[in-house]
Amino acid sequence: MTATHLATIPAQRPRPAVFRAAGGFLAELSKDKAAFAGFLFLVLVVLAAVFAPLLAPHDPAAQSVLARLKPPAWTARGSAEHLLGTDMLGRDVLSRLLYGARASLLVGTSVVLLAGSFGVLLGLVSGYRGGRTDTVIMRVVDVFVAFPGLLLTLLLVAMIGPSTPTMIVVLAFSNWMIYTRLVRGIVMSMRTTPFIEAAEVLGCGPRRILQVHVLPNLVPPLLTLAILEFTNILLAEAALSFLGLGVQPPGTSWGLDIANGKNYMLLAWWPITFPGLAIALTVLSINLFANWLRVTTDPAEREKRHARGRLRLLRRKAAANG
Amino acid sequence: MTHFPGPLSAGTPASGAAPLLSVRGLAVDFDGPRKKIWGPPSKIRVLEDISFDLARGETLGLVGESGSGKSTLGRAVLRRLPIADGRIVFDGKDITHLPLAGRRALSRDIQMVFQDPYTSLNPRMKVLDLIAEPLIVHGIVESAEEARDRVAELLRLVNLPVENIDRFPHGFSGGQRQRIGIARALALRPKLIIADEPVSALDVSVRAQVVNLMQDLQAELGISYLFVAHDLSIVRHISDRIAILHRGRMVEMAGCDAIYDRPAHPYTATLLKAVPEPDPRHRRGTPTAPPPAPRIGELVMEGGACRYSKGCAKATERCRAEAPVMSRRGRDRWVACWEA
Repeated sequence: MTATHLATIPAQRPRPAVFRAAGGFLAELSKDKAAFAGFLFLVLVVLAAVFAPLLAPHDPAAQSVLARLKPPAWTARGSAEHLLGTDMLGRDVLSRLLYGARASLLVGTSVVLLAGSFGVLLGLVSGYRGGRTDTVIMRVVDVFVAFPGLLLTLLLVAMIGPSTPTMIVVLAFSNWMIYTRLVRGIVMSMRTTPFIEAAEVLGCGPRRILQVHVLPNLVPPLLTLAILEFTNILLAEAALSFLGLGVQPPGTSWGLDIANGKNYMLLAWWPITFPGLAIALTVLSINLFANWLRVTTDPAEREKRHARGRLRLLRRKAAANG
Repeated sequence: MTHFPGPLSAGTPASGAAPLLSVRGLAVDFDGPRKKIWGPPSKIRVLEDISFDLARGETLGLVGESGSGKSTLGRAVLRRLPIADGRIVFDGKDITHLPLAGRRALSRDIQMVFQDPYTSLNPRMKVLDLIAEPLIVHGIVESAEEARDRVAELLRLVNLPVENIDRFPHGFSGGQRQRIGIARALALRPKLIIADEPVSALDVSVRAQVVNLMQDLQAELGISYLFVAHDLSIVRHISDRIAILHRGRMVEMAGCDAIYDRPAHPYTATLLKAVPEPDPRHRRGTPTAPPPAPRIGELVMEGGACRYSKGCAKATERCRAEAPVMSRRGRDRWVACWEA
């Protein structure tokens, strides 16, 4: 292997400035069409959530008995007043969709972050310390897993009272165990790998080993799990809101709208279809983007992808030349 | 417990001076199966009565079959394992019972090169970060960037192009990765490097390069090596003396040529016969298989007998009743055998 060959691989070019890194990130992302589309949709959802008061044509909670169940604008009975129609109380579906993005994203991300950081921390300690610490932590996890999640949630909400913050805490409380189990398993198997032993021989303390050697290698599986969990939480939020234990009216969320629209599904498809589409597309976009991110955060995978790209380019050139 | 009388390093390059490392009567236990469900785990003695000296700048080859305890001995010297009995003195300090902080401080002076260069380097760290890590951990530099010049110097020392400093390890060949591992071990300028089969995972074609590099570094920096291997031909090339381990006991220790030309212990002779001879006119005789390794339970039971006595052609009643101790035969040869 010669030095010149090594020097020509662009992925490792030093990029000092932050904005250049961002530019590089977008340039690399735009090569993967599906991931780029997913990323764009996510940006759209976040923008919608942030600027909902400016974008929404109506107050999402304003009821109008006269304008009940108006179909979307492009159908025969629709009007430009309500682009995506109105629900059974005459509330504007588009406005509710924009405001609903707030609740769904807020609950989804904060639950994943809260449950994830707690679960990962316990998993790291459990897997690395082993022995009695591990036994105690894993038995606690077993107890939590064995307890019916919905029952626990109902119990807690009944005790504290329904509200969005309560829902976040309660959902985090009943969803952290899966992170602990995943992380513990990986850390236990990683403990025996020579590079962890090498780090110990070099004099690294447990904290540095976990931070520098274990955690970065946990990013791909954790990313995948967090995304699966995010979608789970979106649905759990919908279920809780449906039961009246989550987002409280006049607040909105996609899940609450699906729950409400369900009863009128045969009369009017739009109050349930659009929030449903919003959830499905968000989940899909996150998956596409996360898949790309997982590959990008792994140096070896990244180089393989780079090589595949070069190969495709060469083949295309060869085909063009006859 | 039998301890060695007198110094063991006679005839080595630095004889006369105090040895860098002296090990006396070292024993290491592993946890075995529990006798009762709630009882403490039983102990399996994996190293028994190991004694040797290692001079500054000397290489001692540790040879034995799988399970003979050669890697365990390396890890015991690094103080990564609890010591059941005996003493380890390194550089004038008794390191047999060190607290955690002391063991971490010890890593400045004793470093290790690992067997598998593919799994012993964190795949998410660049060469710079990998080699700078010991310097950061021991507070010599604040960040990897600060260590860039030192790392470049270390790369030159192990004959790797300095341009590779910002690359990840997966792009390198096994030999190159092992050089990265060696550079990392050298970063703290240790006095002793424990090389745990550093070339057995490498292609035959690059083994010599890595071994020669290690020899050059030894000549330049005066490092001592504890060179663990199961392959006598590599060990002969690099070692000043060779110690043969068999099932947790040292059976013979002598200068390199003495072992090869006149093996004293029957087990040493068996090992030597297993080395392929490139010249068909110089046959050493057909290799004979050593006696099969015992299962874990048997090891515990063995007790008094010589552990080699079961398959040994020379075994007598005495061998089956009493384990032989290391005794001096000649100027620089120690053998544990009643019949040799």
